[in-house]
Amino acid sequence: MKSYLVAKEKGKNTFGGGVVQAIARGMLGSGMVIGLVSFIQGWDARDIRPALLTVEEEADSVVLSDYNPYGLSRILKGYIGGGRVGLIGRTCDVRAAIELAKRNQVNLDDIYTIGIACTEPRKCLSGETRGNCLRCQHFIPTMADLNCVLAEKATIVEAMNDKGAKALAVATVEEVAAFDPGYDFDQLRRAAAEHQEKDFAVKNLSFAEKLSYWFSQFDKCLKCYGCRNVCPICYCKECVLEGDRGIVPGGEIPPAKLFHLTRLAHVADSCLNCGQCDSACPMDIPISRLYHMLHQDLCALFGHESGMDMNPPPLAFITPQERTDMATVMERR
Amino acid sequence: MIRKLMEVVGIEPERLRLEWISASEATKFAQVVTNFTEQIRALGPNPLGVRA
Repeated sequence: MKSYLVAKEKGKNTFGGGVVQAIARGMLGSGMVIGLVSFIQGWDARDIRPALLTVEEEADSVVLSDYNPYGLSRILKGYIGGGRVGLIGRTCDVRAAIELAKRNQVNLDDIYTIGIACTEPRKCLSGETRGNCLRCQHFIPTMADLNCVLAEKATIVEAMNDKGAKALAVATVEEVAAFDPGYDFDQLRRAAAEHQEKDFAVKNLSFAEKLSYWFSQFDKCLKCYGCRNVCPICYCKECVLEGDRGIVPGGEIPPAKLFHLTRLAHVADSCLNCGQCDSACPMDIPISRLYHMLHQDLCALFGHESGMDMNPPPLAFITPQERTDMATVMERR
Repeated sequence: MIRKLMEVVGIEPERLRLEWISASEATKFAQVVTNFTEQIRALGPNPLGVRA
């Protein structure tokens, strides 16, 4: 059920009627969570920092900027329990948390996810629109516990499950009359489809052209490992791409092509198109474009999309149909 | 999935083949390997092997 809410006590960040801040205050104040992962503002509007808020008074510092310099779920990854935590993030942050949960990296029972809908594509540090966000078609975080769509003066909040209802119950908010926030998500979705078509045009090239295009991109790679380090779903503690791990001799760096193709094979089935790899890359390699493109092909193949639900990833199980197929092959022998 | 990956970055997916052959199926093994070798030879050298 959707509720149209404003906060009773407004802090300094009042876009959306301060509802998200009120929820944060309620959750921290009631002791429901021991910490909240969110963005806070540093020196100015372009200095957005990830933070773990632990006391009620910090709730007002939660900012919902158009600039997301970090995949917040990455912070949750190292978390191994000891109390519940909350995550205030965009759709891709919430989806990343779900993907991590599927791989036993986090326990979703310990995490309250508060998803904030994207009503426009996010920006880079320079103020330019992020390429991956232009392609993104996931605006409303329906997979989160609490799903918030912010408007100028109030927020539309929907509790998607019991956890979400509990989080909403501790917030000091009041209901206002239903209104239309005026966001045209269908238009955004159409625009994203157009951007996908444009960005994925490389798909239609011949094999040799594609290969030379991607290899020329990979050759720019400095092997800073930035894309791996910011990736919210790259969770291996001991990465196969590091020296002395079987592929690369100790003290050496992997060849550029191998580095990117290995990463691609590892994360393509769970890529969320969050674009953190693009932002991190000092050489402007369009990494998320390649991952998103492959992920979409896999979606079509397996009928599975990353981070939408707790269904296991397609390569982690065998369907009954596949089992029968396999048995038939064996019998033919 | 690896086939899709190869397709996306521009390596002919025919370069990858997965077959289940039992230890007792020597003839089948020989046949598959010969076929595959011929197929690969027809495709030419591996584009990944070209060193810049």
